[in-house]
Amino acid sequence: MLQVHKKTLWYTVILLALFLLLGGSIVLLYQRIVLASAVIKEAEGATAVLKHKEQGIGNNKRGLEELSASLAALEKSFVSQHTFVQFVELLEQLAQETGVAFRAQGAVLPTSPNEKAILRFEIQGSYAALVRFFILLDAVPYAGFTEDIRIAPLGKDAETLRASVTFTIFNFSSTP
Amino acid sequence: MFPSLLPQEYKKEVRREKILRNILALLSILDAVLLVGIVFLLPSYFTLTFSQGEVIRRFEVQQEALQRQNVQELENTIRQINALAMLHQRNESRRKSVAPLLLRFAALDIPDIALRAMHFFEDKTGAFAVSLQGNATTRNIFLAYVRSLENTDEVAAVRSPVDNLLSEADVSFSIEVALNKEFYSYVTGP
Repeated sequence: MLQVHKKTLWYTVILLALFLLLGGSIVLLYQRIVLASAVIKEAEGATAVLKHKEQGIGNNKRGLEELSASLAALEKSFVSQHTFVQFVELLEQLAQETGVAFRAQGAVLPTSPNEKAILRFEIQGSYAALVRFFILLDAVPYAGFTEDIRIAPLGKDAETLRASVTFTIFNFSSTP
Repeated sequence: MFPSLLPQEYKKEVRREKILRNILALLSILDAVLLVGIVFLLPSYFTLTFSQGEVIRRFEVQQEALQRQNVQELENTIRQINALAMLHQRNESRRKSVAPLLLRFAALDIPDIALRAMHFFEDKTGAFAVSLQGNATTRNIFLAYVRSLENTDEVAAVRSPVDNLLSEADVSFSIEVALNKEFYSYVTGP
């Protein structure tokens, strides 16, 4: 009887140990599964975000390519130290079209953001021609502002007038 | 039921054995359940473990691909373009046309008024004004000219010194026409 009892006891101890082992294993396994799921979820989420960013970057690049002509026009509407002569040439062209004589007298280019870009010039012609010139000047691509105009007859000839103009250029870029 | 004929100590032994065997049975069942659970969990475990490396590798590849796109340079370019576009828009809103003013003064010109000089400038208050010097054949014609200037929408006020009214004929005048700020004014930049 005692022998049978001992055998049963041993079986119980073995099964108890197995129970603890299997219980520990299943808990460990479950934890590893949860951890791996979390890592995979985070990695896949981050990958999706990066893919979305890449798509956005591709769209932006395509947009920039499509707008390249407009961007070039935008950059050209700004005068810089290197392109200032083009602005003066434009005014000479306007003078030619409107029948006035144009002479640039001086320019001040800003060295700090608080300073203004100013061009002083003189035009000569009839009042109607001067007005035609100013109509075209008001519409030049370079945004600006006429700050001062002095109109007086050129000598004794009252028909021909001289206008001394101070023009401030807003669209001035310090970078070339 | 027949009463048990076993002695008392054997009865205790039998009861203890019964309890032990019940525990044994329970443990067997629990062990079997745990074993089945482990068997079902193992495929998920191996699937996740083997795919984890692949997912992380895909993430790293995507990261590298994005780095190759030179995002920083693109962002800087877009930022510069946006700043330029905003500045352009702001400057366009600061533009004022001076030709309509010159046309207006031409329209107000009357035959008996001869203008000698015109000076368009910004006065001390920051408003713009036009200084006109000329001759009027009579005082009344000069006054009519001043009134016509005052009645113009673009004009805020006409400043005419009394000296202009001293002569009745061949009036040499010098007046200052202050312009309305809504019509022409300088808006300081950003």
